[in-house]
Amino acid sequence: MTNQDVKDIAGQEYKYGFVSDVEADQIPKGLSEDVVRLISRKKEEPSFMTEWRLKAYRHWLTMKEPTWAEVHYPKIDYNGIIYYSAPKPKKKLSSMDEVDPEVRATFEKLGIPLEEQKMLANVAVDAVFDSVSVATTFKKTLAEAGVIFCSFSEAVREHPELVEKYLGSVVPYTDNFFATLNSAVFSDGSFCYVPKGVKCPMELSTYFRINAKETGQFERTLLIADEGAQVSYLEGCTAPMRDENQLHAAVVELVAMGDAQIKYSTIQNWYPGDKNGKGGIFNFVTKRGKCAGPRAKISWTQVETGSAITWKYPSCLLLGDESVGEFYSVALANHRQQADTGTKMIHVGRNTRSTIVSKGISAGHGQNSYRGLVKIAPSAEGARNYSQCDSLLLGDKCGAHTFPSLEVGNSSATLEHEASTSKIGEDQLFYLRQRGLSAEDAVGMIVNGFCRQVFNELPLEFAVEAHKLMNISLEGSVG
Amino acid sequence: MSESAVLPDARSPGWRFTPQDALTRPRFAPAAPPAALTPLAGRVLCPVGFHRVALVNGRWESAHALLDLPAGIRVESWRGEGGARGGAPAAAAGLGDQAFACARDGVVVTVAAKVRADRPIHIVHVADAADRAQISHARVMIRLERGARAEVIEEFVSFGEAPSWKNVFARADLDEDAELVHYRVLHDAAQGRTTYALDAELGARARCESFLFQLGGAFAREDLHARLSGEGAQLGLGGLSLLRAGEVADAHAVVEHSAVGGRTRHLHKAVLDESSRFVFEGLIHVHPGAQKTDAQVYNRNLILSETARVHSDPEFRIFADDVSCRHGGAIGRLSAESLFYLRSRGVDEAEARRMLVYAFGAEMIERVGQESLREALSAALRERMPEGREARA
Repeated sequence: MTNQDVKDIAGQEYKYGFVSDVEADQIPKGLSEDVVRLISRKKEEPSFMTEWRLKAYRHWLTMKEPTWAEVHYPKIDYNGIIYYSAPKPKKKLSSMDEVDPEVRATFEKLGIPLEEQKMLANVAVDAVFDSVSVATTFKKTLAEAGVIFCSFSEAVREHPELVEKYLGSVVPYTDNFFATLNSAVFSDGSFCYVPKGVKCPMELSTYFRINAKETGQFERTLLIADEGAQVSYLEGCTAPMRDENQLHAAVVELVAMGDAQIKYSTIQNWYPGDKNGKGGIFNFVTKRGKCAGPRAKISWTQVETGSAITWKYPSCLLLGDESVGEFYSVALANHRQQADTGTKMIHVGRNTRSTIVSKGISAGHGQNSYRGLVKIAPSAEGARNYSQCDSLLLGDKCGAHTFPSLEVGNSSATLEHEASTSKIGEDQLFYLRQRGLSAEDAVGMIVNGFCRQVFNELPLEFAVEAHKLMNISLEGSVG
Repeated sequence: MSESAVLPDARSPGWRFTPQDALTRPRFAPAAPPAALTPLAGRVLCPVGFHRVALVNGRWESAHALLDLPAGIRVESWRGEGGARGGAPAAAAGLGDQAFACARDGVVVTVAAKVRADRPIHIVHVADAADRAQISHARVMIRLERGARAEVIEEFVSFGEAPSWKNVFARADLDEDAELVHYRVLHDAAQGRTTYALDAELGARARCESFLFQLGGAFAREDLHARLSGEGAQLGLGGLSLLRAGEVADAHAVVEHSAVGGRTRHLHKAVLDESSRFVFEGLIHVHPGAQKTDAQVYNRNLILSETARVHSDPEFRIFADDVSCRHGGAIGRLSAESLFYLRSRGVDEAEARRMLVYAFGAEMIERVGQESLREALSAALRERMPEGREARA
């Protein structure tokens, strides 16, 4: 073989790789470097993204799936998953009559306006409520304020410098098993940048709900509030979401610069599986916010009622002096659902403050765990934390577990933690029953009272829906 | 079997936050009997009026025994194979199984049905290491038959210049309606290390109080495992750890409620000065069917220096619905308001600090029913206070 031959061979394209450059909707099952490259190529990403995905994939190969959570599920075959499929247009329905009656009934109970119901159920909408035009109006308002809000793929194309700067700055690709997997193969998600001193002119929730669309199972969200900016973002919605993908491993990164405020609310109501625990979504999410500058504030509010398994710890990294982290959570585990959720508050800056309020409700055979960490670094002079986690038990087959950790490395810090677990008082139930309420309504009322502290943190329209959602999710757990 | 302890992996659960350096360096060789016996007078906290036995370097020492036992109470040596008497650790907690297997001797306390012990039974664990680092293992069995009552005080001391490590496994079996008051007083010298595992089982309506008073020693670890397996059993756990210099206290407790109507009160307090370190893990596990369980776990820590570190982990696993469980943790330093108040009343700063630290620790000491022991502990608390040292200097 001559030198020229060698050069020729070396210069060839790798022909056993993915020659299937044809516009296939799906690629074969399984994960390899070629699949990662293919995903990146299909999304027409710049080379820094491809490299970043590959680094994540190589790191992922060295990692083990975590087993410390208080959840049990059959082993996931990561090579049995299709990691890329182009979003397929759903069949448009011609009227609400074609929608699954069960879904329709839930819409009614939640009190979602008819036009929005049609949107959510993928029914063709009339001209009066044209989602495209509404969305366009919203887009205009946001653009005037200088807010960038678009899909992740669009951000990679239009604002690569911002993506490169902030992607992985809060959740690095080496972070944990599921976040690393997400980094390698994430399909799409949302990107938001609020420039210096701008208060986002609308709750991004409103926009989001109108534009609800398929983002796939490996979603990635990056939200940046520059100095003095303010933004409120709501993901998910109260409407029941059916999805074919069982494994969801999303990543959410928030960056709040000095004096910025981010409020991130989640309502998660994915398919929890049936009463016997068959089916249902595995929701393994990594969410973390960084208060990068002084007096920054990040507030997480979550209402978790869906999914078969929830594994989720929205956290705050409080780097800036006097920055504030908050976590308000309601997690419900009914039937065979398992939820292992909580938060981490890492205090690094001086006089940083954090508040944790977690309400867990277990019913049926549900298992609910609160797992949290409050860490005070030696530099966090004057740090302050208050944590409260309460659990409510409905029925004698369910479980409630709490694993709060406190780590203190600075003696000027003050930490308080309180937790309680109990069932609904017989006297409370009796009182409501003798006032004429049914057992189910009485329980609903007590549970909503139990969750009130958290619901109060939600944007108004969602607080109302969350209240109703809680009642629906508890159906069948009483009596 | 090798007599030097094998430590679990530093990343394994229950050991992740434990600094193991004090146990890995220097190398500890199996302890031999000391060349000469050190008298206990003036070196132990408990008064001589108690029934007393002592284990020196893990061996029963008759010369130290002060026994004058009434009928129905037996305090004997547990020589030879531990297994012959049963009482092996039910749950492998900490280094308890190693202590059980490696020990050559120990103490067995038996109180017959309905007998109430007249005086406390005082067990002194002595480590005497003159010139080389050594480890000794010992086991203790406390067996209270139906309706029996006893007070058992285990005291841990170390003599000699060389580092020493006592590894003790204790088992407490309480039959129905039995009542045990169990104190552990630990005041090792700066070179002393102690690891202690307790495996307790409570029958119906049995009551057990088990408290630790930690007043010194380079490293102390406790692994308590209690099972409330009879209806209406009551357990009180707790401790007061006074730490300074580079001392490490490592308190782990698992309480399993498997019967109806059990009650647990667990409170551990720590005062940390200089570069000391405290780790707390307290788990309450309520098994299915253990309805009407009423459990509380609290850990409160007072930090006096910039360099002390605390890790606190109260946990619940609850599989029954009709329960009332609470836990809480607090970590903080002396309240500026309280200090200001005392100073405004004309108390100088050092004295004000001393008063506040004393008040924080005294809550635990006041629970001791035995008056002479309470006074001895109270004096020890004053002695151990950081400002106390400054004032004397």
